[in-house]
Amino acid sequence: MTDRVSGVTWEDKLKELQEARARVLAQGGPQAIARQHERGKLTARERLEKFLDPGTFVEVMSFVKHRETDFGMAEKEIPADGVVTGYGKVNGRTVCVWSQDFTSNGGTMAEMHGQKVSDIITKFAMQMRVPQVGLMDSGGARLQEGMQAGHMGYGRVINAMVNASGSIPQISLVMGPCGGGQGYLPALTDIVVMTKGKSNMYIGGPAFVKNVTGVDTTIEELGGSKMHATVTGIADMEVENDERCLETGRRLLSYLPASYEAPLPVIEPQDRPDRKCETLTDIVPTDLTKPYDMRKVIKEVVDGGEFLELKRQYAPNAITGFARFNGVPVGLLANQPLVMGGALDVEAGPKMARFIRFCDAFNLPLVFLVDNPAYMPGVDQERGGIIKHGCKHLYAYVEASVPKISVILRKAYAGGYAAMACKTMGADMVFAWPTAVITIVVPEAAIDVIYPAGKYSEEERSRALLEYYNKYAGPWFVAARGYIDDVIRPEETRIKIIQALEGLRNKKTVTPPKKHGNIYL
Amino acid sequence: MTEVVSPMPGKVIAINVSIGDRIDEDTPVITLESMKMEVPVFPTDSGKVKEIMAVVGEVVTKGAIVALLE
Repeated sequence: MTDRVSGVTWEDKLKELQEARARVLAQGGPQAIARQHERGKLTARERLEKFLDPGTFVEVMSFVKHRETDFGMAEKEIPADGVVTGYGKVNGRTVCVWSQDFTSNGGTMAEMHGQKVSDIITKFAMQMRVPQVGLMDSGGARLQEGMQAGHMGYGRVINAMVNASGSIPQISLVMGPCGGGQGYLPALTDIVVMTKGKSNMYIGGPAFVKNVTGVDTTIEELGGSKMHATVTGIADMEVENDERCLETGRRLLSYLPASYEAPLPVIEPQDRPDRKCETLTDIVPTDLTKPYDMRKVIKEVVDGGEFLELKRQYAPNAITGFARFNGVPVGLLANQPLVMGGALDVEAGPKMARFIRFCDAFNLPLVFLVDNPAYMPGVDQERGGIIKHGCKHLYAYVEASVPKISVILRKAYAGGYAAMACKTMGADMVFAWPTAVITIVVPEAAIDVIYPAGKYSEEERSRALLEYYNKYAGPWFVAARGYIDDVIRPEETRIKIIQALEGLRNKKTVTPPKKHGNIYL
Repeated sequence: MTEVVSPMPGKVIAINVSIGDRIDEDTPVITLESMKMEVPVFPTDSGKVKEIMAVVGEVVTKGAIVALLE
Protein backbone atom coordinates (compact mmCIF):
# COMPACT_ATOMS: atom_id res chain seq x y z
CA MET A 1 0.00 0.00 0.00
CA THR A 2 1.44 3.39 -1.00
CA ASP A 3 0.71 6.80 0.49
CA ARG A 4 -0.72 8.91 -2.39
CA VAL A 5 0.94 12.16 -1.34
CA SER A 6 4.48 11.16 -0.37
CA GLY A 7 4.75 7.72 -1.75
CA VAL A 8 5.75 6.42 1.69
CA THR A 9 4.84 2.83 2.50
CA TRP A 10 3.82 1.18 5.78
CA GLU A 11 7.19 -0.49 5.67
CA ASP A 12 8.94 2.91 5.60
CA LYS A 13 6.85 4.28 8.47
CA LEU A 14 7.44 1.23 10.63
CA LYS A 15 11.15 1.25 9.84
CA GLU A 16 11.32 4.90 10.88
CA LEU A 17 9.66 4.02 14.19
CA GLN A 18 11.94 1.06 14.70
CA GLU A 19 15.06 3.17 14.09
CA ALA A 20 13.90 5.96 16.38
CA ARG A 21 13.15 3.40 19.08
CA ALA A 22 16.54 1.75 18.61
CA ARG A 23 18.33 5.10 19.04
CA VAL A 24 16.50 5.67 22.33
CA LEU A 25 17.10 2.11 23.57
CA ALA A 26 20.81 2.34 22.73
CA GLN A 27 21.23 4.88 25.56
CA GLY A 28 24.68 6.53 25.40
CA GLY A 29 26.13 3.83 23.11
CA PRO A 30 28.38 0.80 23.71
CA GLN A 31 31.42 2.76 24.94
CA ALA A 32 29.51 4.79 27.54
CA ILE A 33 27.67 1.63 28.65
CA ALA A 34 30.99 -0.22 29.04
CA ARG A 35 32.30 2.65 31.19
CA GLN A 36 29.12 2.53 33.33
CA HIS A 37 29.71 -1.22 33.87
CA GLU A 38 33.40 -0.64 34.68
CA ARG A 39 32.29 1.71 37.43
CA GLY A 40 30.33 -1.22 38.88
CA LYS A 41 26.99 0.31 37.94
CA LEU A 42 24.07 -0.95 35.86
CA THR A 43 22.55 1.19 33.11
CA ALA A 44 19.26 3.02 33.55
CA ARG A 45 17.39 0.38 31.55
CA GLU A 46 19.12 -2.61 33.19
CA ARG A 47 18.07 -1.18 36.54
CA LEU A 48 14.44 -0.90 35.46
CA GLU A 49 14.52 -4.48 34.23
CA LYS A 50 15.74 -5.70 37.62
CA PHE A 51 13.50 -3.40 39.63
CA LEU A 52 10.20 -4.19 37.93
CA ASP A 53 8.44 -7.53 37.48
CA PRO A 54 9.70 -9.05 34.19
CA GLY A 55 8.01 -7.68 31.09
CA THR A 56 5.85 -5.12 32.91
CA PHE A 57 7.70 -1.90 32.03
CA VAL A 58 5.71 0.53 29.89
CA GLU A 59 7.83 3.44 28.70
CA VAL A 60 6.30 6.86 28.16
CA MET A 61 7.72 10.12 26.79
CA SER A 62 10.42 8.07 25.06
CA PHE A 63 10.97 10.51 22.20
CA VAL A 64 11.25 13.74 24.15
CA LYS A 65 14.15 15.87 22.87
CA HIS A 66 15.95 18.84 24.32
CA ARG A 67 15.59 22.12 22.41
CA GLU A 68 18.86 23.84 23.27
CA THR A 69 20.76 25.21 20.27
CA ASP A 70 23.66 27.12 21.85
CA PHE A 71 27.06 25.87 23.04
CA GLY A 72 27.21 23.07 20.48
CA MET A 73 23.91 21.51 21.53
CA ALA A 74 22.02 21.96 18.24
CA GLU A 75 23.43 18.76 16.75
CA LYS A 76 23.57 16.81 19.95
CA GLU A 77 21.09 13.97 20.39
CA ILE A 78 20.53 12.75 23.96
CA PRO A 79 18.47 9.52 24.02
CA ALA A 80 15.29 10.02 26.08
CA ASP A 81 16.96 13.26 27.19
CA GLY A 82 18.91 11.26 29.77
CA VAL A 83 16.01 9.88 31.79
CA VAL A 84 13.87 6.80 31.11
CA THR A 85 10.31 7.29 32.36
CA GLY A 86 7.31 5.00 32.64
CA TYR A 87 5.43 2.60 34.86
CA GLY A 88 5.44 -1.07 35.65
CA LYS A 89 4.77 -3.54 38.43
CA VAL A 90 6.53 -4.51 41.63
CA ASN A 91 5.19 -7.78 43.04
CA GLY A 92 2.12 -7.26 40.92
CA ARG A 93 1.45 -3.69 42.08
CA THR A 94 1.79 -0.69 39.77
CA VAL A 95 4.46 1.97 40.39
CA CYS A 96 5.75 4.89 38.32
CA VAL A 97 9.49 5.07 37.72
CA TRP A 98 12.10 7.41 36.34
CA SER A 99 15.61 6.19 35.80
CA GLN A 100 18.41 8.63 35.04
CA ASP A 101 20.75 7.49 32.29
CA PHE A 102 24.30 8.45 33.18
CA THR A 103 25.53 7.12 29.82
CA SER A 104 23.47 9.72 27.95
CA ASN A 105 25.14 13.04 28.59
CA GLY A 106 25.72 12.15 32.25
CA GLY A 107 22.00 11.90 33.02
CA THR A 108 22.12 15.64 33.48
CA MET A 109 19.13 17.73 34.51
CA ALA A 110 17.79 20.05 31.85
CA GLU A 111 14.50 21.63 30.79
CA MET A 112 13.01 18.58 29.08
CA HIS A 113 14.70 16.05 31.40
CA GLY A 114 13.04 17.91 34.30
CA GLN A 115 9.71 18.04 32.50
CA LYS A 116 9.77 14.28 31.99
CA VAL A 117 10.49 13.65 35.68
CA SER A 118 7.87 16.10 36.91
CA ASP A 119 5.31 14.69 34.44
CA ILE A 120 5.90 11.10 35.54
CA ILE A 121 5.18 12.26 39.09
CA THR A 122 2.35 14.73 38.47
CA LYS A 123 0.61 13.44 35.38
CA PHE A 124 1.22 9.74 35.87
CA ALA A 125 1.87 8.66 39.50
CA MET A 126 -0.46 11.26 41.03
CA GLN A 127 -3.28 10.49 38.56
CA MET A 128 -2.78 6.74 38.75
CA ARG A 129 -2.58 7.01 42.58
CA VAL A 130 0.56 4.87 42.80
CA PRO A 131 4.05 5.37 44.32
CA GLN A 132 6.81 7.07 42.34
CA VAL A 133 10.33 5.67 42.50
CA GLY A 134 13.35 7.63 41.24
CA LEU A 135 16.46 5.68 40.19
CA MET A 136 19.02 8.46 40.44
CA ASP A 137 22.38 8.75 38.74
CA SER A 138 23.05 12.24 37.44
CA GLY A 139 26.01 14.50 36.83
CA GLY A 140 23.92 17.45 38.01
CA ALA A 141 22.70 20.41 35.96
CA ARG A 142 23.32 20.38 32.18
CA LEU A 143 25.40 23.53 32.18
CA GLN A 144 24.90 24.24 28.47
CA GLU A 145 21.28 24.91 29.35
CA GLY A 146 22.02 27.30 32.20
CA MET A 147 18.74 28.53 33.63
CA GLN A 148 16.64 25.89 31.89
CA ALA A 149 18.54 23.16 33.73
CA GLY A 150 18.62 24.64 37.17
CA HIS A 151 15.55 26.70 37.63
CA MET A 152 13.16 25.21 35.11
CA GLY A 153 14.23 21.56 35.36
CA TYR A 154 14.86 21.25 39.09
CA GLY A 155 12.09 23.74 39.85
CA ARG A 156 9.51 21.58 38.11
CA VAL A 157 10.72 18.40 39.81
CA ILE A 158 10.85 19.95 43.28
CA ASN A 159 7.37 21.35 42.77
CA ALA A 160 6.07 17.94 41.69
CA MET A 161 7.70 16.13 44.63
CA VAL A 162 6.39 18.55 47.22
CA ASN A 163 2.86 18.36 45.83
CA ALA A 164 3.03 14.57 45.80
CA SER A 165 4.42 14.44 49.35
CA GLY A 166 2.01 12.64 51.67
CA SER A 167 -0.29 11.81 48.75
CA ILE A 168 1.70 8.95 47.23
CA PRO A 169 4.81 7.21 48.62
CA GLN A 170 8.02 8.51 47.03
CA ILE A 171 11.23 6.48 47.12
CA SER A 172 14.72 7.44 45.96
CA LEU A 173 17.16 4.74 44.93
CA VAL A 174 20.43 6.63 44.62
CA MET A 175 22.95 4.67 42.56
CA GLY A 176 25.28 7.38 41.37
CA PRO A 177 26.09 11.03 41.85
CA CYS A 178 23.40 13.47 42.93
CA GLY A 179 25.15 16.82 42.95
CA GLY A 180 23.93 20.40 43.09
CA GLY A 181 20.15 20.81 42.77
CA GLN A 182 19.85 17.05 42.34
CA GLY A 183 21.24 16.67 45.86
CA TYR A 184 17.97 18.00 47.25
CA LEU A 185 15.73 15.60 45.32
CA PRO A 186 16.20 12.43 47.42
CA ALA A 187 15.66 14.39 50.64
CA LEU A 188 12.35 15.70 49.30
CA THR A 189 11.08 12.13 48.99
CA ASP A 190 10.11 9.74 51.79
CA ILE A 191 12.80 7.07 51.81
CA VAL A 192 16.36 7.17 50.44
CA VAL A 193 18.51 4.12 49.68
CA MET A 194 22.14 4.71 48.64
CA THR A 195 24.70 2.33 47.14
CA LYS A 196 27.88 2.09 49.18
CA GLY A 197 30.79 4.14 47.84
CA LYS A 198 29.16 4.66 44.42
CA SER A 199 26.48 7.19 45.25
CA ASN A 200 26.57 10.61 46.79
CA MET A 201 24.49 13.69 47.50
CA TYR A 202 25.90 17.18 47.95
CA ILE A 203 25.00 20.72 46.98
CA GLY A 204 28.55 21.65 45.92
CA GLY A 205 31.33 19.27 44.82
CA PRO A 206 35.04 19.43 45.73
CA ALA A 207 35.97 21.73 42.80
CA PHE A 208 33.22 24.18 43.68
CA VAL A 209 34.10 24.10 47.40
CA LYS A 210 37.77 24.73 46.55
CA ASN A 211 36.79 27.59 44.26
CA VAL A 212 34.55 29.44 46.69
CA THR A 213 36.17 28.64 50.05
CA GLY A 214 39.68 27.44 49.24
CA VAL A 215 39.18 24.25 51.25
CA ASP A 216 40.29 20.84 49.92
CA THR A 217 37.65 18.14 50.33
CA THR A 218 36.58 14.83 48.81
CA ILE A 219 33.20 13.74 47.47
CA GLU A 220 33.01 10.98 50.10
CA GLU A 221 33.53 13.55 52.82
CA LEU A 222 31.03 16.00 51.35
CA GLY A 223 28.25 13.60 50.54
CA GLY A 224 29.25 9.94 50.35
CA SER A 225 26.81 7.18 51.27
CA LYS A 226 28.61 6.54 54.57
CA MET A 227 28.44 10.22 55.49
CA HIS A 228 24.69 10.34 54.83
CA ALA A 229 24.03 7.02 56.58
CA THR A 230 25.89 7.97 59.75
CA VAL A 231 26.13 11.78 59.99
CA THR A 232 23.08 13.40 58.36
CA GLY A 233 20.78 10.38 58.42
CA ILE A 234 19.35 11.36 55.02
CA ALA A 235 20.26 7.89 53.72
CA ASP A 236 17.72 5.52 55.25
CA MET A 237 19.79 2.60 54.04
CA GLU A 238 23.28 2.09 52.67
CA VAL A 239 23.49 -1.05 50.51
CA GLU A 240 26.26 -2.97 48.77
CA ASN A 241 25.44 -2.41 45.08
CA ASP A 242 22.79 -1.64 42.45
CA GLU A 243 21.19 -5.10 42.70
CA ARG A 244 20.76 -4.80 46.48
CA CYS A 245 19.47 -1.25 46.10
CA LEU A 246 16.75 -2.29 43.63
CA GLU A 247 15.79 -5.30 45.73
CA THR A 248 15.57 -3.04 48.81
CA GLY A 249 13.26 -0.69 46.90
CA ARG A 250 10.98 -3.65 46.13
CA ARG A 251 11.01 -4.72 49.79
CA LEU A 252 10.16 -1.21 50.99
CA LEU A 253 7.17 -1.00 48.64
CA SER A 254 5.81 -4.28 50.03
CA TYR A 255 4.99 -2.48 53.30
CA LEU A 256 3.40 0.59 51.72
CA PRO A 257 -0.06 1.32 50.34
CA ALA A 258 -0.30 2.69 46.78
CA SER A 259 -1.39 6.09 48.07
CA TYR A 260 -2.69 7.69 51.25
CA GLU A 261 -6.26 6.63 50.42
CA ALA A 262 -5.42 3.08 49.34
CA PRO A 263 -5.74 0.05 51.66
CA LEU A 264 -2.67 -1.25 53.49
CA PRO A 265 -0.92 -4.17 51.79
CA VAL A 266 -2.08 -6.80 54.28
CA ILE A 267 -0.70 -10.24 53.40
CA GLU A 268 -1.60 -13.78 54.35
CA PRO A 269 0.01 -14.15 57.81
CA GLN A 270 3.21 -16.19 57.78
CA ASP A 271 3.28 -16.54 61.54
CA ARG A 272 0.79 -17.58 64.25
CA PRO A 273 -1.03 -14.62 65.85
CA ASP A 274 -1.22 -16.44 69.19
CA ARG A 275 2.48 -17.35 69.26
CA LYS A 276 3.89 -16.82 72.75
CA CYS A 277 7.28 -15.14 72.99
CA GLU A 278 8.85 -17.27 75.71
CA THR A 279 12.42 -16.04 75.22
CA LEU A 280 11.72 -12.37 75.99
CA THR A 281 12.39 -12.86 79.70
CA ASP A 282 15.82 -14.30 78.81
CA ILE A 283 16.63 -11.28 76.61
CA VAL A 284 15.52 -8.49 78.94
CA PRO A 285 17.21 -8.27 82.36
CA THR A 286 15.12 -7.17 85.36
CA ASP A 287 18.11 -5.11 86.60
CA LEU A 288 17.37 -1.67 85.14
CA THR A 289 21.06 -0.76 84.89
CA LYS A 290 21.78 -3.64 82.50
CA PRO A 291 21.54 -3.08 78.75
CA TYR A 292 20.33 -5.61 76.15
CA ASP A 293 19.80 -5.68 72.40
CA MET A 294 16.27 -4.47 71.56
CA ARG A 295 16.64 -5.93 68.05
CA LYS A 296 16.38 -9.39 69.61
CA VAL A 297 13.04 -8.40 71.18
CA ILE A 298 11.79 -7.03 67.84
CA LYS A 299 12.78 -10.20 65.97
CA GLU A 300 10.93 -12.25 68.53
CA VAL A 301 7.61 -10.37 68.44
CA VAL A 302 7.09 -9.48 64.74
CA ASP A 303 5.83 -11.85 62.02
CA GLY A 304 8.57 -14.30 61.05
CA GLY A 305 11.27 -12.18 62.69
CA GLU A 306 11.25 -9.90 59.65
CA PHE A 307 12.14 -6.28 60.30
CA LEU A 308 13.19 -3.74 57.67
CA GLU A 309 15.15 -1.15 59.59
CA LEU A 310 15.64 2.47 58.47
CA LYS A 311 18.48 4.78 59.53
CA ARG A 312 20.20 1.88 61.31
CA GLN A 313 23.51 3.70 61.56
CA TYR A 314 22.04 7.11 62.43
CA ALA A 315 20.97 7.75 66.05
CA PRO A 316 21.24 4.00 66.79
CA ASN A 317 19.91 4.66 70.31
CA ALA A 318 16.49 4.77 68.63
CA ILE A 319 15.23 2.07 66.25
CA THR A 320 12.74 2.69 63.41
CA GLY A 321 11.52 0.33 60.70
CA PHE A 322 8.76 -1.70 59.09
CA ALA A 323 7.40 -5.03 60.25
CA ARG A 324 4.17 -7.00 60.15
CA PHE A 325 1.86 -8.28 62.86
CA ASN A 326 -0.50 -11.02 61.66
CA GLY A 327 0.09 -9.80 58.11
CA VAL A 328 -0.66 -6.12 58.85
CA PRO A 329 2.23 -3.76 58.05
CA VAL A 330 3.21 -1.33 60.82
CA GLY A 331 5.81 1.29 61.62
CA LEU A 332 7.77 0.01 64.59
CA LEU A 333 9.68 2.36 66.90
CA ALA A 334 11.82 1.24 69.81
CA ASN A 335 14.56 2.35 72.13
CA GLN A 336 17.91 0.58 72.01
CA PRO A 337 19.23 0.16 75.57
CA LEU A 338 22.49 -1.16 74.10
CA VAL A 339 23.38 2.28 72.75
CA MET A 340 23.57 5.22 75.16
CA GLY A 341 21.29 3.29 77.50
CA GLY A 342 18.52 3.99 74.99
CA ALA A 343 18.45 7.66 76.04
CA LEU A 344 16.90 9.98 73.45
CA ASP A 345 18.94 12.87 72.07
CA VAL A 346 19.02 15.64 69.45
CA GLU A 347 19.35 13.08 66.67
CA ALA A 348 16.90 10.44 67.91
CA GLY A 349 14.06 13.00 68.26
CA PRO A 350 13.86 14.07 64.60
CA LYS A 351 14.56 10.47 63.49
CA MET A 352 11.48 9.26 65.34
CA ALA A 353 9.39 12.29 64.40
CA ARG A 354 10.01 11.91 60.67
CA PHE A 355 9.25 8.19 60.78
CA ILE A 356 6.03 8.76 62.75
CA ARG A 357 4.88 11.40 60.23
CA PHE A 358 5.67 9.17 57.26
CA CYS A 359 3.73 6.23 58.74
CA ASP A 360 0.83 8.50 59.69
CA ALA A 361 0.66 9.97 56.18
CA PHE A 362 0.21 6.48 54.74
CA ASN A 363 -1.93 4.99 57.50
CA LEU A 364 0.60 2.54 58.89
CA PRO A 365 -0.26 1.86 62.56
CA LEU A 366 2.53 2.67 65.02
CA VAL A 367 3.90 0.16 67.50
CA PHE A 368 6.27 1.39 70.22
CA LEU A 369 8.55 -0.82 72.31
CA VAL A 370 9.58 1.42 75.16
CA ASP A 371 12.65 1.22 77.38
CA ASN A 372 14.43 4.54 77.76
CA PRO A 373 15.77 6.69 80.58
CA ALA A 374 14.28 9.89 79.01
CA TYR A 375 15.80 12.57 76.85
CA MET A 376 19.47 13.28 77.61
CA PRO A 377 20.12 16.35 79.73
CA GLY A 378 23.45 18.19 79.62
CA VAL A 379 25.13 21.21 78.09
CA ASP A 380 25.86 19.70 74.67
CA GLN A 381 22.29 18.45 74.30
CA GLU A 382 20.67 21.71 75.43
CA ARG A 383 22.96 23.76 73.18
CA GLY A 384 22.29 21.32 70.37
CA GLY A 385 18.62 22.19 70.66
CA ILE A 386 17.20 19.21 72.53
CA ILE A 387 14.06 21.25 73.18
CA LYS A 388 13.32 21.96 69.53
CA HIS A 389 14.34 18.47 68.42
CA GLY A 390 12.44 16.74 71.23
CA CYS A 391 9.47 18.95 70.32
CA LYS A 392 9.35 17.42 66.85
CA HIS A 393 8.98 13.98 68.39
CA LEU A 394 6.26 15.12 70.81
CA TYR A 395 4.43 17.02 68.07
CA ALA A 396 4.53 14.17 65.58
CA TYR A 397 3.34 11.69 68.20
CA VAL A 398 0.26 13.74 69.08
CA GLU A 399 -0.47 14.69 65.48
CA ALA A 400 -0.47 11.09 64.23
CA SER A 401 -4.03 9.84 63.87
CA VAL A 402 -3.15 6.21 63.12
CA PRO A 403 -3.45 3.59 65.89
CA LYS A 404 -0.69 4.12 68.47
CA ILE A 405 0.11 1.01 70.48
CA SER A 406 2.82 0.86 73.14
CA VAL A 407 4.45 -1.81 75.22
CA ILE A 408 6.56 -0.56 78.11
CA LEU A 409 9.23 -3.17 78.79
CA ARG A 410 11.13 -1.42 81.56
CA LYS A 411 11.83 2.30 81.68
CA ALA A 412 9.52 5.03 80.43
CA TYR A 413 10.84 8.28 81.85
CA ALA A 414 9.75 11.86 81.24
CA GLY A 415 9.80 12.86 77.53
CA GLY A 416 10.65 9.29 76.63
CA TYR A 417 7.31 8.26 78.15
CA ALA A 418 5.39 11.26 76.81
CA ALA A 419 6.31 10.72 73.17
CA MET A 420 6.12 6.94 73.17
CA ALA A 421 3.43 5.62 75.48
CA CYS A 422 1.43 8.40 77.12
CA LYS A 423 -2.37 8.22 77.14
CA THR A 424 -2.79 11.92 77.86
CA MET A 425 -0.67 12.59 74.75
CA GLY A 426 -2.93 10.39 72.65
CA ALA A 427 -1.70 6.80 72.99
CA ASP A 428 -4.50 4.40 72.09
CA MET A 429 -3.37 1.23 73.79
CA VAL A 430 -0.62 0.96 76.39
CA PHE A 431 0.62 -2.31 77.84
CA ALA A 432 3.26 -2.63 80.51
CA TRP A 433 5.39 -5.52 81.63
CA PRO A 434 5.54 -6.01 85.42
CA THR A 435 9.12 -4.67 85.16
CA ALA A 436 7.89 -1.27 83.89
CA VAL A 437 9.06 1.87 85.67
CA ILE A 438 7.13 4.98 84.67
CA THR A 439 8.27 8.24 86.19
CA ILE A 440 8.75 11.90 85.40
CA VAL A 441 12.44 11.70 86.27
CA VAL A 442 14.99 9.07 87.30
CA PRO A 443 13.86 8.28 90.90
CA GLU A 444 17.41 8.91 92.21
CA ALA A 445 17.29 12.45 90.81
CA ALA A 446 13.86 13.06 92.34
CA ILE A 447 15.14 12.07 95.77
CA ASP A 448 18.19 14.35 95.36
CA VAL A 449 15.79 17.28 95.02
CA ILE A 450 13.19 16.27 97.62
CA TYR A 451 15.76 15.02 100.17
CA PRO A 452 19.08 16.75 99.34
CA ALA A 453 22.27 15.02 100.49
CA GLY A 454 23.75 16.76 103.55
CA LYS A 455 20.37 17.92 104.76
CA TYR A 456 19.11 14.36 105.16
CA SER A 457 21.04 11.30 106.29
CA GLU A 458 21.95 8.60 103.80
CA GLU A 459 19.62 6.29 105.67
CA GLU A 460 16.68 8.68 105.27
CA ARG A 461 17.57 9.18 101.64
CA SER A 462 17.70 5.49 100.80
CA ARG A 463 14.43 4.93 102.63
CA ALA A 464 12.81 7.73 100.62
CA LEU A 465 14.26 6.32 97.41
CA LEU A 466 12.80 2.92 98.15
CA GLU A 467 9.47 4.54 98.95
CA TYR A 468 9.57 6.49 95.69
CA TYR A 469 10.42 3.36 93.74
CA ASN A 470 7.64 1.47 95.47
CA LYS A 471 5.08 4.14 94.65
CA TYR A 472 6.02 5.24 91.14
CA ALA A 473 8.36 2.58 89.90
CA GLY A 474 6.44 -0.34 88.60
CA PRO A 475 3.37 -0.05 86.43
CA TRP A 476 0.87 -0.06 89.28
CA PHE A 477 0.46 3.64 90.06
CA VAL A 478 -0.11 4.53 86.41
CA ALA A 479 -2.29 1.46 85.85
CA ALA A 480 -4.45 2.44 88.82
CA ARG A 481 -5.10 5.83 87.23
CA GLY A 482 -6.19 4.17 84.00
CA TYR A 483 -3.22 5.19 81.89
CA ILE A 484 -2.09 1.64 81.27
CA ASP A 485 -4.62 -0.66 79.68
CA ASP A 486 -3.11 -3.83 81.02
CA VAL A 487 -0.07 -5.20 82.78
CA ILE A 488 0.95 -8.24 80.77
CA ARG A 489 3.33 -11.18 80.88
CA PRO A 490 6.21 -10.56 78.46
CA GLU A 491 5.36 -13.70 76.48
CA GLU A 492 1.94 -12.17 75.61
CA THR A 493 3.51 -9.11 73.95
CA ARG A 494 2.88 -10.26 70.38
CA ILE A 495 -0.67 -11.41 71.07
CA LYS A 496 -1.58 -8.13 72.78
CA ILE A 497 -0.18 -6.03 69.91
CA ILE A 498 -2.13 -8.06 67.35
CA GLN A 499 -5.37 -7.78 69.36
CA ALA A 500 -4.87 -4.02 69.70
CA LEU A 501 -4.26 -3.64 65.96
CA GLU A 502 -7.45 -5.55 65.22
CA GLY A 503 -9.41 -3.54 67.77
CA LEU A 504 -8.18 -0.23 66.40
CA ARG A 505 -8.58 -1.12 62.72
CA ASN A 506 -11.38 1.41 62.18
CA LYS A 507 -9.96 4.14 64.41
CA LYS A 508 -11.23 7.61 63.50
CA THR A 509 -10.10 10.92 64.89
CA VAL A 510 -11.19 14.48 64.22
CA THR A 511 -8.55 17.12 63.51
CA PRO A 512 -9.66 20.68 64.22
CA PRO A 513 -9.97 22.69 60.98
CA LYS A 514 -6.76 24.49 60.05
CA LYS A 515 -4.46 25.07 57.08
CA HIS A 516 -1.61 23.13 58.63
CA GLY A 517 0.04 22.87 62.03
CA ASN A 518 3.37 24.43 62.86
CA ILE A 519 5.79 21.66 63.83
CA TYR A 520 9.26 22.94 64.77
CA LEU A 521 11.52 22.44 61.77
CA MET B 1 43.86 3.93 63.23
CA THR B 2 40.38 3.84 64.78
CA GLU B 3 39.38 6.17 67.58
CA VAL B 4 36.95 4.73 70.09
CA VAL B 5 34.72 7.62 71.06
CA SER B 6 32.36 8.07 73.97
CA PRO B 7 28.80 8.51 72.65
CA MET B 8 27.65 10.43 75.71
CA PRO B 9 28.94 11.99 78.94
CA GLY B 10 29.34 9.54 81.81
CA LYS B 11 31.59 7.96 84.43
CA VAL B 12 33.99 5.22 83.36
CA ILE B 13 33.16 2.18 85.51
CA ALA B 14 35.08 -0.56 83.68
CA ILE B 15 37.74 -1.13 81.06
CA ASN B 16 37.02 -4.39 79.32
CA VAL B 17 40.05 -4.82 77.02
CA SER B 18 43.84 -4.85 77.33
CA ILE B 19 46.48 -3.36 75.07
CA GLY B 20 47.21 -5.76 72.25
CA ASP B 21 43.75 -7.40 72.26
CA ARG B 22 42.20 -8.02 68.84
CA ILE B 23 38.61 -6.78 69.02
CA ASP B 24 35.65 -6.15 66.70
CA GLU B 25 32.60 -3.86 66.53
CA ASP B 26 30.75 -6.01 69.06
CA THR B 27 33.39 -5.73 71.78
CA PRO B 28 32.50 -3.27 74.54
CA VAL B 29 35.84 -1.48 75.01
CA ILE B 30 34.83 0.32 78.17
CA THR B 31 31.64 0.62 80.22
CA LEU B 32 30.25 3.96 81.28
CA GLU B 33 27.68 4.76 83.89
CA SER B 34 25.29 7.35 82.55
CA MET B 35 21.56 8.02 82.88
CA LYS B 36 21.71 5.42 85.72
CA MET B 37 22.56 2.77 83.14
CA GLU B 38 25.57 0.70 82.25
CA VAL B 39 26.56 1.91 78.81
CA PRO B 40 28.95 -0.24 76.78
CA VAL B 41 31.12 1.71 74.33
CA PHE B 42 31.79 -0.10 71.04
CA PRO B 43 34.38 0.68 68.35
CA THR B 44 33.20 1.55 64.82
CA ASP B 45 35.73 -0.86 63.33
CA SER B 46 37.67 -3.96 64.32
CA GLY B 47 41.37 -3.70 65.24
CA LYS B 48 44.10 -4.22 67.81
CA VAL B 49 43.96 -2.14 70.99
CA LYS B 50 46.88 0.30 70.84
CA GLU B 51 46.15 2.71 73.64
CA ILE B 52 43.53 3.14 76.38
CA MET B 53 42.91 6.70 77.51
CA ALA B 54 39.90 6.06 79.75
CA VAL B 55 40.51 5.82 83.48
CA VAL B 56 38.09 4.06 85.81
CA GLY B 57 36.30 6.55 88.02
CA GLU B 58 36.84 9.52 85.72
CA VAL B 59 34.10 11.35 83.87
CA VAL B 60 34.32 11.57 80.09
CA THR B 61 32.44 13.96 77.81
CA LYS B 62 30.55 13.14 74.63
CA GLY B 63 33.07 12.70 71.82
CA ALA B 64 36.02 11.99 74.16
CA ILE B 65 38.50 9.50 72.72
CA VAL B 66 38.60 6.62 75.20
CA ALA B 67 40.91 4.25 73.28
CA LEU B 68 42.82 3.85 70.03
CA LEU B 69 42.84 0.79 67.79
CA GLU B 70 45.28 -0.03 64.99
